[in-house]
Order: sequence, then structure tokens, then C-alpha cells
Amino acid sequence: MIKLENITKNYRFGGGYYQALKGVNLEIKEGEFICLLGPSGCGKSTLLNITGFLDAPSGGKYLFKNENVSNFSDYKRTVIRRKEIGFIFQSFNLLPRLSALENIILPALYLNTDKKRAVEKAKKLAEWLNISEKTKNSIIELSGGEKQRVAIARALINSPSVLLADEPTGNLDSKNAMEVVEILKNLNKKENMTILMVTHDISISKIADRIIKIKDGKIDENF
Amino acid sequence: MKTSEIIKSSLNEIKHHKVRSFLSFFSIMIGVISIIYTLTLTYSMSYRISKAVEVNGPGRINIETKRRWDDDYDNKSKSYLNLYDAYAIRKSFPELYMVSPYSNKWVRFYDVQSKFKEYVGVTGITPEWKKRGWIYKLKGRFINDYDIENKSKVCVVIKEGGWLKKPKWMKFYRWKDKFQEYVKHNELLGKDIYIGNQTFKVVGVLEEPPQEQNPKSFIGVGSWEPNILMPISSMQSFLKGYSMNEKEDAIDGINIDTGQKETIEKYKRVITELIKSRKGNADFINMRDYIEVLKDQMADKKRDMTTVMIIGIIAIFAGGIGIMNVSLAAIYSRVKEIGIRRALGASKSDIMKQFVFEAVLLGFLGGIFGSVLGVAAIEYLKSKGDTNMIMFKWWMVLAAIIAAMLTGFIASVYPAKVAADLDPVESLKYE
Repeated sequence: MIKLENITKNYRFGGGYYQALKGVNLEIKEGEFICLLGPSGCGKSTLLNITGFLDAPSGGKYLFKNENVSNFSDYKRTVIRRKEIGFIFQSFNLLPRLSALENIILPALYLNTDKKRAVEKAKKLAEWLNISEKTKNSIIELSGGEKQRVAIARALINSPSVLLADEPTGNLDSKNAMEVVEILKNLNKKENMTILMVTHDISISKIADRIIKIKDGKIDENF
Repeated sequence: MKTSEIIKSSLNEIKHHKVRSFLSFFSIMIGVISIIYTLTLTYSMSYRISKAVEVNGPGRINIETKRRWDDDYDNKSKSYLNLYDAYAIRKSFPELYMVSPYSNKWVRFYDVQSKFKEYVGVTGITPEWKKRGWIYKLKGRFINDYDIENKSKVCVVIKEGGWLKKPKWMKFYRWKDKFQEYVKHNELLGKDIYIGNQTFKVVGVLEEPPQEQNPKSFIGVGSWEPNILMPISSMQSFLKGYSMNEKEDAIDGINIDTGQKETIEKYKRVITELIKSRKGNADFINMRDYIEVLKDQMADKKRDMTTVMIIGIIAIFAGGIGIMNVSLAAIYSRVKEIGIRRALGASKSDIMKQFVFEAVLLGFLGGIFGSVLGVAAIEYLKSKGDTNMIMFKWWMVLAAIIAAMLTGFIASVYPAKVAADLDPVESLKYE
């Protein structure tokens, strides 16, 4: 489903460049659950952003569903991100002025889905994630665990083919963290969802099919 | 994202930042009020000018003997215009639509029967007078060629039309034209009256239309409004000594209509030549075309209008800068939100649209509130007797609202572009 060949990413830094990714090769098959492990600053979030079309690689080849997307324009990357990718963040990244339900349906509105249908689907997702009673609440009124469930529902609203989670348990207590891990596991096993998760918690990474360690902008082959 | 959703989201933002929103639409509001006022004034002036030209004739020229208070009056000049000059112009240029000589006098009026006495404005004319500016309903008959030739002692009285609905300010306006009050309450047609120390028969009454429908009331050009018209020849014979001109056969001036705007210059030249050939020179006359007269009269109003227009432009410009400022400030407080929206599938144009819609909506709301206040102010001025405000049209509100929305649009394009160009990855990291 995803094939990264010799992906590099350079950032302008002062007068020169800082290389965040130094030639990453990675293949992810459909339905696979992969964990990216590594210390902070090693380039795992950069890799996640490139995989999720939030960022463009500086070099290398990116094949998504057998299509070379390395040189896609910003707009093309946006369109593909809308349809195919669901994001879950460590700090939830919910919009505080919207209710839980409004947050969940937001990606569907960018996809121009009929609002009624989006709301119906959002309610089903909320029920599945045990937050049905909280959908009308403001984000401020929700607990950390509830916020992350809202974020998961939001990531799933457009039925993406890949779910990208950037330290999804980082801001949660152990109980809520385990619940979120359980949800992701279920999604992967029951719905055959392809998941790429960034974490630095080795215990959580054990639920993945494959663990990949990133070190200094490269995949640590010795891990 | 659907437009309805963007509007909903924009309204939400406006509501959330009440003070910020209020300040920018407050200046937009002031701009809108002055736009509506200026448009009304401009429209009123152009209407007045076109109506004045329509009523008074497109090729109108006025010739008058220079007065002592005119700038270039020559003390030694003994020349003056008389009735024969008018006849000569008529004879030399029969194609002219109108050649109307006139003389104005301020004369004592006396009705023996009712003992009514008053000084009134009398204008001596020929039948050509009625060819232009005829807005009246005539009872009886008008002055004819026979009256001119025979110096008939007849006159026509002008009766004001009054108001269909009296404006409020008139109730506090105490001054009343005594002569008009007298005309209103006495049947004058066929009556013999004293003008000066001679009796004249009233052969006609000219009724003006009501003030609201009287083009003269909003043309407002020319200060002399006669109460009585009489044959100019009779005036010269029987009302000696009431004139501003020392010579008894002198006339005040001649109104000419060439029939076409384009021929004004040509006739100004040939008529000057004719007068020169008759009198030896033409330095003793002032010759002005009507457009010049109108321009002089409108100059003051134009200045007022320009002032208001400048205030309006500054206000709306300030509103625009306000919107731009607010939008730019909003971007920096919403960097994270922009990143989140981009991650969730918003394209650059979705982000741009959101900021532009917010600003246009601010402009629209400012436009609506401004229009409500503007229309209220115009109604108030109308009730205070500002006749220009009668010319207010609803399309002006629409134009002002569009201008306000356009200001919002123009002011937000740059901030919106800044927002859309933010790097989504960097924006997501922003705290």
C-alpha cells in the first residue's frame, strides 16, 4: 500500500540545511500495524507527516497504492489526505469553539459529504467509542480520554485507508492510554485498518505487527 | 467545504470576537452612512441639472446689461439692452427656439376692494416667455402679441401650488408670503387691480404644481421669482421709475434658447456680433450659457459633497485597514487551528475562503447596520426640509452594502493568503 524509497527531508536552518530524514526505505502493506519508535528529534514525526501528505519529501520516491506521489502539488496532496488519511495527535488537536460532534464531522465537510450523512456516521462512531452522551458537549468539558476518542472518531469519519497516530497516548493516564491502544488494535484486527503509530513507549509498541526504530533520520536496521 | 458551512463558521468567529468585530464594522458603518448620503446628494444634483436643462431648454443663453456691481462694469458706458435688440435677434435668427426679453420690477400692488397692499415682483415679458419653463396650469388666457403691440393694461398672476403633504419643518416656519396668502383667498381672474399707480386687468392665473411635483422647487436656479407677469411694452409705458435701469426703454435681459446644446457657442458669437453692429460695442453685456449659471449655483453643493465623500472614503478605508488588521491578528491567534484544518483535509483555498468570508461578512453586517442608520439620518434630514434627500433611492443602500463587502474582500485577500500559505506542519507545532 505504501512504499517509501530513499526518502529524504531537508529543512532550511540558519544559512544551511538540516537533514531530518536521510534516505528512509519503508514498505507498509494493507492491514499492517506498524509502530515507529525512537527518541525525540530522530525524524519519526517527519516521516509520519510525509506519509500522511502533510509534508512533501525533499528527495526519494513515495508510492501510495502504486501511484508515484512524490511530486504531487500541495492541492493534490490535500485531496489525497482528505480521502485516504486519518490523523490522531498527542495533543488531540480539537477545535475548542466547536462541539464534539462538530469536530468529528469536520473532515467530512472538507470532503463535501452531505452533512446529514456525516452526522449519522459521527453518531455511530461516537456510540462505538462510548462517547454518545458527550457529542453535544464543548471540547473544554471533556476529559483527556474522551478528547482522544473524539479525535479518533474524527480520524475515521471519512473511512480512510491509513490511520496515522502521533503519540496518541502521550497525554493520557495509563487507563485511558490502554483503552486507546485497545481501540486501535480493534480497528486493525476487525476493520483491517492500516495503522502507522509513532510512540516512544516500548510497552505500547508491542501491540504492533512490526516495530521500526528510527535513529538520526534513518531506520535502525540493527533493531 | 460548502459555502453555507463556511458562513456558519465565519459567523461563529465574528460572534466569538465581539469587540474586535464591532470595532471594524463600526468604521465600515460610518463609511456606509457617508456613501449613502453622498450618493443621494450626487444623484439629486445630477437630477436637478438634467431637470433644469429639460425645463429651461438645452441651448439656453442669458444676456444681461452689466450692472454697477458687476466686476467689469464700465462707468463710461452708456449702452444698454432694449426691446428692439431682442426684436433684431429674433428677426436675424428666426430659427432660434426662443428669444424672450424681460424686465423685473419691484412694484406696489393694491386691491381697492379688499384694501390689500403689498410690494410684489413684476416681470415684463413677451409671449415667447412661455416657450420654456412652462410648468403651470393656466386659468384664463396668457399674454399675447396683441397685448405687446397695443401696450394692453393686462396681467397674469402666478399662484403657488402649496404642498400635497406639508413637511414637518413648515409648521415651525413662521414666514408667510402675504401676496400668496391673498391670491389663495381671492378670485383674481377678471379683476381690476392697481400695479404702481395704474389699473391692470387680471386676464390669467398661472397655477404652479404642488411643491413636491414642482421641478422649480428642486432646481432652485435663479433668485427672481415674479408674482405677476405683464406685457413688457406695457411695463415700459406705465411702470416708469420702478426700474434698476435708469433708461426708460431699457430691459434687464434676454433669455434665448437655441434649441440645441451644440449651437450655444455659435449663437453666442453671432449674437455678440449683431449687438456690436447695433451699438458699436458689446462690452456692456454679460452673456452666459445656462450650464455655466448652473455650475456656479452648484459649486457650493459640490464642495459639501466632496467633503462628505472624502470623509466616507477615509472611514471606509479605515474600516478596511481595521479588517485587515483584525484578520492578520486573527491569523496569528489561529495558526494552530489553520494547521489542524489543513491536516483534516482543508485545502489552501478552503483556508483562504474562510478568512475572506469572515471579512466580507463583517463588511456586510457593517453595511446593513450602516444602511439602517444612514436611511434613518436621511429620513430625519428629509423631515427637516433638506430637499436633496427626497432623491434618495433604495439602490443606493445596495451600492453602499456592496462597497462595504468589497472593502472587506479587498482588505482580507492579503491576510487570507498569508493564512493559506502557512506550512501545515509548522502550524500544527505552534502553541
